[in-house]
Amino acid sequence: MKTTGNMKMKLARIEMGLSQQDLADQVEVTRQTIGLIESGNYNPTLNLCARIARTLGRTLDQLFWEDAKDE
Amino acid sequence: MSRKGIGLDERNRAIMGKICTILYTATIYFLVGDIFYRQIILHQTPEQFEDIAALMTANVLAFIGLMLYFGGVSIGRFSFTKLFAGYAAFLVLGIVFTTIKYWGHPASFLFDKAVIVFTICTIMVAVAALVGYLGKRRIERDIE
Repeated sequence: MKTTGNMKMKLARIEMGLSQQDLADQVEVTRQTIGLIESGNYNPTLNLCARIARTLGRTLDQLFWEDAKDE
Repeated sequence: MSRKGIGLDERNRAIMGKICTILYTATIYFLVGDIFYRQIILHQTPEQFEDIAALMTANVLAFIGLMLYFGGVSIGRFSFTKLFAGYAAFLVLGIVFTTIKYWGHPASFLFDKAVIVFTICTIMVAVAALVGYLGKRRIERDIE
């Protein structure tokens, strides 16, 4: 099944004025990992989700929870 | 988990883990194939490739031990019945294999070999049970 990607995370990152590389540096992963999470091709661990959420000033729900209508 | 050493993040490590697992499995199979090739095609005696066999045995035993200790396999609820069943199966296989291998030798010779198989099987199962128990205890301690 083709995934639609994580638009919530992408929008939150852009709202914060961060590039993928900036976010990657702050959460200590590679830029590719951030890109793959945003495109829905990598499932991050809960630890990484929490670090991303903290960096972007959001909750885990706001970034990673998918409502039925989103799926 | 942060990037450490050569800058690997969790995704890199997960990919590396998968590749290592596949290559490790392939290597073990190739070594088994190599042993058969030497024995059947090249007609070598077991003494001529016992270094490979010893390395492979040590490697597989270390693999099983580490899997048990670090919780790589589900041990479930400890049961003497399960442990004894595994031990008995291991022992029967070892004795059958030894009997077939040394078929035609005197019964006393086969008995001596069976004693060796029994001793090795007992030690291996005892060590595996101990390592499994220690691993389970470590995980329970981490949970507390």
